[in-house]
Amino acid sequence: MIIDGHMYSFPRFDSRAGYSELGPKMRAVQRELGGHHQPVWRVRDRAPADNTTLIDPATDELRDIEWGRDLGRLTWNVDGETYTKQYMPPMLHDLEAPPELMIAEMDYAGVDMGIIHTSGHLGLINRYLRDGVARYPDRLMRLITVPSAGIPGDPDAAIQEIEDEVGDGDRCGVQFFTRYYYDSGETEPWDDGKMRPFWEAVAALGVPVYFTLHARAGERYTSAEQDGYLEEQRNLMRWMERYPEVTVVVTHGLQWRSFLEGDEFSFPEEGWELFRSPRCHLQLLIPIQVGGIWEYPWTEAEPMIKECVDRIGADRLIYGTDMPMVARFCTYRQTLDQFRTHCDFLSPAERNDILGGTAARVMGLE
Amino acid sequence: MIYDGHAYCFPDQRGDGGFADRAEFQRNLQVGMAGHFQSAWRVRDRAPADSSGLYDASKGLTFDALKDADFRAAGHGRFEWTVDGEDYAKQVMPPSIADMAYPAESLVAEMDYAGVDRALLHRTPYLGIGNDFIADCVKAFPERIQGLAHVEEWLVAPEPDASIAKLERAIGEQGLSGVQFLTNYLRLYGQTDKWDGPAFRPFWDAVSGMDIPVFFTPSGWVGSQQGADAKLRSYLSDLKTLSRWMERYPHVKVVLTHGFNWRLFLDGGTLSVPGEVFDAAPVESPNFSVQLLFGIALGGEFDYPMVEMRPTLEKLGRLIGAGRLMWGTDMPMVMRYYTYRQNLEVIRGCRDIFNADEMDRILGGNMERLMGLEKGSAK
Repeated sequence: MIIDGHMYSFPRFDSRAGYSELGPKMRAVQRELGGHHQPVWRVRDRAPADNTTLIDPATDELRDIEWGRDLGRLTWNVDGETYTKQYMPPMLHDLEAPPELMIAEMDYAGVDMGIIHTSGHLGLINRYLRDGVARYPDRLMRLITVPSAGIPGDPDAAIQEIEDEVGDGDRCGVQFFTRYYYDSGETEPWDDGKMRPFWEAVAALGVPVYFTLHARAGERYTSAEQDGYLEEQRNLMRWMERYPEVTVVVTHGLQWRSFLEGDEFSFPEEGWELFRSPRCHLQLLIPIQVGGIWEYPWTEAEPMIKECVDRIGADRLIYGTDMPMVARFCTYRQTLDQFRTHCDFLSPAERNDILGGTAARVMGLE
Repeated sequence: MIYDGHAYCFPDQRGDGGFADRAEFQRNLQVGMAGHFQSAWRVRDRAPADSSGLYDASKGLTFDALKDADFRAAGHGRFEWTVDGEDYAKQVMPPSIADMAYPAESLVAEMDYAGVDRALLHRTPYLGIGNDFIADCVKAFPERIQGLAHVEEWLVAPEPDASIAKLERAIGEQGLSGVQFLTNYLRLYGQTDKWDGPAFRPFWDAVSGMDIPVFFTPSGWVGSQQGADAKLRSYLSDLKTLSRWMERYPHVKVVLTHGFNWRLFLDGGTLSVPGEVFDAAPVESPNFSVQLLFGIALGGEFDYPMVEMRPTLEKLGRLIGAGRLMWGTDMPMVMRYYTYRQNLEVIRGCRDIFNADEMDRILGGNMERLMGLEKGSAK
């Protein structure tokens, strides 16, 4: 069975998508796009521009912009000029990825099941995803999330929502974003303190917990971000010591781009300690991170993949894609073929684990 | 300038496609999908299937061979049909085409992202006939899109005056920039005369006086059960007809769409184009150009970046010359194999075959000249 361990489904990008108002949703979009590496251009002449059209680099404040659409793309107008970036691929003609589209893509690529992830800038979409999984229970699984920043202030509400969703009975996990947690103003790490009631409740649910580790601050792809990322790994190690029975998945991989030096990854020894825990799994999403730098089949990444296999083991590695966003770099099938027909160092058993076996065990399909 | 010499936009495939009778459009679609090399599968379990539910292969790809199978443009680029209660599917368009239409806005967005400056819209009856839709695309994006006119090939001989009038309107009033002629539609509509014969002469004489490029799509015609040799003979016959046509109209600029029929020349893991193909085609004519669409033909056979194509590309460069080769993609259909940008990179990666100037010509310069876009051009 081929399982895409990391994919998305979401309503229109420029809709409320579960938020009570459009404003907070689009501010989440602006924050995400303003920190993202995809290039910005001016719509009228396709001249290169940058993220300062979204976020003031001096203050890190969101700029006062007006959202719009052009040729199906999300645009923003600032200082009389309209800009865009292809955060989502052009093929998403209406900026949405309903479950039906994802199933069609999976059918064509030969993917049997997918685990749908979430993120605040895509909406507060637990209910949307619950309905989607209900329509395709043999093809889709989902992760449940609540806004990380809101948990310290009202853990009971967060617990209630998570319990309600998990109690719905479909195969699921819980996803937690470290970066958004700090938006609450909390300075203490997220693994304890005010978060303890929430984590106690999550641990009792018996579902895997997916952690999306990002540095709390600092520009992307800098040494400050590397340090911040490793700090979040240490927080997660403490968390796993407290909840050793919980199955953990680190989403996206090892934040490859932050540790890229020339054409090689330079990942510090400390970064591997997380995986001493036999319950800790790692997703392998290569093209979504390096697809703008390297070409399919991304052979430059193979030494790092081999190191992951050697250090962690294929039975704790999970193929994922970030579909549909990854289509801005490659086809769905190419993401699969990276592991199916390339990476010659993999044994058949290792390929099977990475391409679905590990995810199946994590999600309780075996 | 990067010019995609072969792209598409089309209206909803669930509509009438510009045909007076929607059923005729659906028959054209069904024939098109029945004969398409993309593999079919059974919907309920995605088990491999074939196209036998769509047509009776013993009759060849004809309207008479079509079976009543509730054939439909289902959605997400997928065509479906039902046999004995089982649904089958074939993915000829990429899954992202949710509503089975591809408006100009979608193509231009893809062009922006891939770095393509212009594209020429091509035609095939199973994507719709009539020139209004294509003309509207051109009008919406005059700096980015040009379009080919189409007249029903099967009406040219019986209704030459109406065909000429339709083409004159498309060029003179609707702003289209050339004409595409697909030879296999003559046989599909029961016409066996050579398309350069007397019955076609009034039409071609008129075309030759319009100072427009003519885009020919010769594909030969054989029943699907006939062997590779019969298919090759039929294809060669069509190429020879094209050579005769160019001898009669040597001043007309002609483009061979799609390139040569690459899939006929698959030889294991390589491509082997026999010399008789180059003998049959009008390769010596300075007004004959060849499109390079490798991804759409062989993207399911060869992995990106298609290094298997490079010996053939080198041969084309030697026998025809970079000045008469034109990059194209078949967008959006080609996205079922490669991204738009990857299509561009397949050619850009051949720097060991073509120098920078030749590369510029293949990727846009030749089209720019052909379509009258060069600075100082009268058009």
